[in-house]
Amino acid sequence: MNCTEFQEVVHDLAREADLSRETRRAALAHADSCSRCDELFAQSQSLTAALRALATKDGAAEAAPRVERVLVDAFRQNRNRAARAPLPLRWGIAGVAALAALVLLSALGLRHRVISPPTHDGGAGSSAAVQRATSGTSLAPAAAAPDGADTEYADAFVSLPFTDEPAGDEIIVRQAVSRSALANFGLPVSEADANDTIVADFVVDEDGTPRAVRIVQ
Amino acid sequence: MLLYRRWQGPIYRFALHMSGNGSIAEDVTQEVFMSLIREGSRFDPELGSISAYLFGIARNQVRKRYDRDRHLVPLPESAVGASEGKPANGNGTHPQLIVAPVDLSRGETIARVREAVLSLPEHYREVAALCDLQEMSYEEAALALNCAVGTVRSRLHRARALLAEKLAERQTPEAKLAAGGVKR
Repeated sequence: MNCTEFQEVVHDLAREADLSRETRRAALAHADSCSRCDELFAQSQSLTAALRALATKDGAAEAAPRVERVLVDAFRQNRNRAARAPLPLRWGIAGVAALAALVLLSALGLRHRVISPPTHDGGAGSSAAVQRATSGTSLAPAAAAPDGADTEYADAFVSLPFTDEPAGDEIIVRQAVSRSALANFGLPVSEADANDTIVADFVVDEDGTPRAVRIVQ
Repeated sequence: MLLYRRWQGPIYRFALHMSGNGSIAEDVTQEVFMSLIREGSRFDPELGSISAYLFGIARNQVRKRYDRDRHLVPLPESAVGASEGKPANGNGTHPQLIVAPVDLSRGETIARVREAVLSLPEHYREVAALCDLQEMSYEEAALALNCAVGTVRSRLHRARALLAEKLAERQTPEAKLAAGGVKR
């Protein structure tokens, strides 16, 4: 090893960094044979010691507890925000999905004649009608209308998003609702006709959870 | 918070050695972990260790502060434009040799070392802070600094040569005599 090669490794040698055993041995042998390189090595060792002294002195230095408190607060806020954020997104996706389903079904001509449900005789002035649905048929159109009955058309039921598989008996509830109320079920509503009233059938689970909806015309 | 408790000390000390200012070091530490809270999903363990990721953020934060408060750490003119990757005076000749071993018994020595580190140009200071003061390997430092291992190594060698010069310059005449040497 010559002086130039020694200068290239002298700091690694002084820092006790990764050097091959062969390189280390050659460098030390050169330092033994060259007084100026040996002094350079001693200087680098002193520098290493000085830097380690600085590192040791600052070894316990750390951020004030205030920083941890700020970060804990920020973490909690971030977590709460994350928990809230998906809701509008979910409704947005639900709306798009429901619209796509309605468009698809309309395009396929899946329109069915349906029987007028029996009028609700329990509550005067109520616009709701109730019909018992059998389990597993909630998404199918109602039976054909008897002769002479008033007829109307309805789209097939569209499952509402974010509902579990239906369990047990379900009922179909006919309800006159404003279009804006459909927004609560993730269906798209434009501002222009938000106050219009329409008739819709809802498949409602035993626990009152709406499972599917169709618009009656 | 486990991550914070494990790494806040090293990050704080890195920022302290880079800025020389405890207040800035605290701000940088806070910002590093804020970034982790906000954008932690960007960390890819396949690309490097969490320490390299955190030190990388810290380095960028220090640079931002440095750009904003440039007057806090003035660059010495002699250091500007210093070449990288070569010994202080290569081509087979000896570098301008400074024989001034640092006397660690003196209380002010550590303060002088700190000043010398702070007076290094930024890209030399960060490798000295990571490799010599944080005892990072060249590979870890290269990941944190987003550069090649060879670049880290050559910058560190240049940084140490500059530090040796600065420490010799800052020694009192008495210390130089006691150390038994001046520039030869």
